[in-house]
This record gives sequence, C-alpha cells and structure tokens, in this order.
Amino acid sequence: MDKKNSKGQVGETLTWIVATIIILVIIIFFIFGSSLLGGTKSVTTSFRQSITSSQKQEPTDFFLQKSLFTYVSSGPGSSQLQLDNALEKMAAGGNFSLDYNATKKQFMLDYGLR
Amino acid sequence: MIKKRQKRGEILVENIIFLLLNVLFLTILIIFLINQGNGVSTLEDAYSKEIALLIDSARPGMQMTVNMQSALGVANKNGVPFDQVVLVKGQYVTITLDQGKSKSYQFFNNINVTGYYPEKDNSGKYNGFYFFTFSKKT
Amino acid sequence: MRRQIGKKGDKLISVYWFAILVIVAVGIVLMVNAFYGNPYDVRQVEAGILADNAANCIYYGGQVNPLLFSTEGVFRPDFRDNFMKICSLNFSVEGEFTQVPYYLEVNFSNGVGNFANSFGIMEGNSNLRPDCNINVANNQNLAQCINKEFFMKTSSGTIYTVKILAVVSKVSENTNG
Repeated sequence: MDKKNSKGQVGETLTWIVATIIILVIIIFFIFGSSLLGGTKSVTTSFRQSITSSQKQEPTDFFLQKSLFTYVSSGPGSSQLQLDNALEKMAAGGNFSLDYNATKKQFMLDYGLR
Repeated sequence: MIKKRQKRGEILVENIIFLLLNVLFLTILIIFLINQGNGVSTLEDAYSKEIALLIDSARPGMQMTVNMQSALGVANKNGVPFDQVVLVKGQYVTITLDQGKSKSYQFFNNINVTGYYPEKDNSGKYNGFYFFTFSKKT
Repeated sequence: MRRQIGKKGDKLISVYWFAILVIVAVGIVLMVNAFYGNPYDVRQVEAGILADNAANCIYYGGQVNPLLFSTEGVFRPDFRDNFMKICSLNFSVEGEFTQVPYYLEVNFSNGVGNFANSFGIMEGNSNLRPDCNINVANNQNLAQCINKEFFMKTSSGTIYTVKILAVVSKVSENTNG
C-alpha cells in the first residue's frame, strides 16, 4: 500500500518538474521574441511617408537640390563636367534620397535653359 | 464526529484561500497590463520627441498643428489639464500625461515658440490638437 | 495514512501552482517591458534636421549667405564666431554637469573633389566626434552621425564643396542603455 503511494507521488512530481521546465522554456522564448519585436524603434528619414500623404508632401533632398542648382547655374564648361562626375559618384554611393537622374532632368527643364 | 467536522472546515478554508490568491494574482496582472496599455511613458516619449523635432524644423512665421488625440484621453484619465500637457521652456519640450511624471527632450533650433495652446471645438471642449506659432528670437 | 499523504501532495501542488503563477507573471512583466519599454530612436532624423538647417543657412535658393564672404571674396572669421547666432542654433543645456549632446562641423574646400579645407566651423561637443569613426554593428549606444555634402557657387563664380557632419548623442533618451 505504501509503495504504491510513493510511486504515484514520484510520478506526479516528475510531471510537475517537466511541466515547469516546458513553461520556463516557452516564457524565455517569448521574452526573447518580444524583445526582438519591440527593440528600440529607429525612426529613419523615411518617417515622413508614414505620417503624411504623398499628395500633400513632395519628397525632397536639400543637398541634392543645392548641388544641382550649382550644377545648372555654373554653365557649360570644365567645372560643370567635374560637378557632373562628382554628383554621379555620389549618386552611385547612395548619398541621395531622391532619384538622381530624374531630379537632374527636372532641374535642367526648370532652370537649365535660363 | 467532531474530528470529521474540523477536517471539512479546513478543506473549505484552504480552497477559499487558494481561490482568493488566484483572483488576487489575476487582478494584479490585469491592472499591470491595463497600465501598460495606457502607455503614459510611451506617449510622453513619442510626443516630446515629435514636438522637439517639429520645433527643430520650424522657421519664423510658421504655424503648426499637432495631433495629440491619444494624449487627450490619457491626460483626462490621469487628471492632468490638457492645456498643461505641453511645456516649452528654454531648449526643452516637456510632456506631462500623469501627475508627477513627465518627459523632456531637447531641441537645438534657436527659435521663439511664441504660443502653444490646445485647440477647442465649437462646444468649447478640447479636440486633441495643439497649435504652435513661431517667431524669430531677438 | 493514505489520506494524509494525499493532503501533503495537495499542499505541495498548490505551492507549486503559485510558483508557476509567479514565474508566468514575471515572464509577462519582462515581455511587456521588453516590448513597450524601448524608446523611439530619433537621433538620425534629428542629426539630419541639424545638417539641413546648417546647409540652408549657408546656401539657400542658390544664394550663399552674404555674411560668409567678405567683399574681397574671402571667408569671414566672424561668420565662424557668430555661426550659432547667424544660423539660429542653440546647444545650451540645463544643469551644470550636463554634456552638450550635439556636435556640428562644416568644412569648405575650394573646387570639386578637392579635400584641402579652406575654411572650417566646429560647434558643440567635439568629444562626440570619435564615435563617428567606430564601426560596429550595434551602434545604438554611440552618438549618431550624419555626413552630408553639397556644392555651392559664390557670386564670383567659385565653386566650393561643403561637407557637413552633424552628431547627436542623447543615448539615454533614445535607447534603453
């Protein structure tokens, strides 16, 4: 009678230990998952698109626009050629947030003929 | 006979305590989750940064309206008057959404925030928008 | 005898049950904190706005700031001295021992692709500058840097390359660290 009882107890304790381990593993997994999902939310320069309508706000890159303004106002010559090369290089390096060729074309149309 | 009765009583008390502790545990957990869902610190963090960045981008003569409808409900719930939620002092924006709790963020634009106040609808109630005007610092 | 053992087992199970509840509660608290506790990191945007403001102050609408050059076409040192005021910037902090969380550097070089500096402006906390040279995958705990470059043409027709470095630290406000 006694033997039977202790066997039952051992079985039950083992079940609880295994259950605890499983629960711990699941919790650790979820803590890791939530810290990955909720890690510091980096707000990058593309945040404007998420909070404004594209119809209301035009994307812009001040630095590209300034350089292109210099490019079109410098007139044909060696300095314009140098600028063109330098800007092409910068565009290839991913320095601009706008499409370089399209913006340049637009600038040439808007200011180039003046 | 007396012994039996005592045992029954013990079982009842044990079960009641067990149930009460379970209920207590669940209540504490639910209160914690509701408080987190309130997001006082998350909202304070987000709004202080958003307004600081808006001030950084502002130019003299500009007027801005910031949607703070999420903050309106939280401020009302925590007993903070909505016109005291935003404070611009020196080079810092401070957002207060709970009594005795606030978050500040620094901005670098040397501009005068001439006025900032919450907008009201036709019935005189706050509509959750804050209005900012800027002028050049002399 | 059997009943007594059963009762002991019940008590053991109820203690175990509460231990599990505590573990689960601690787990949920950790999960919620991990998910909601992290602040927004806006330093890249902030440094971008700082660089934009400096660039617009120097060269706007195809016009160089008239205070930058003297009538002879040379850089005016008083533009550097009063740069913060001219460009409407203010890095002042509250508290005696608080470090300035900003650094701004503007370098002008004559011509295109010429890296010899003709003129330079440095403002803010220069101790933050070395952080920009550290290349690590997780750089959240370092100051955030933005490098920008553009070309400007003066009224005399000279072209300058302008390089702007904007740095924002504010680590504690933007990370959990």
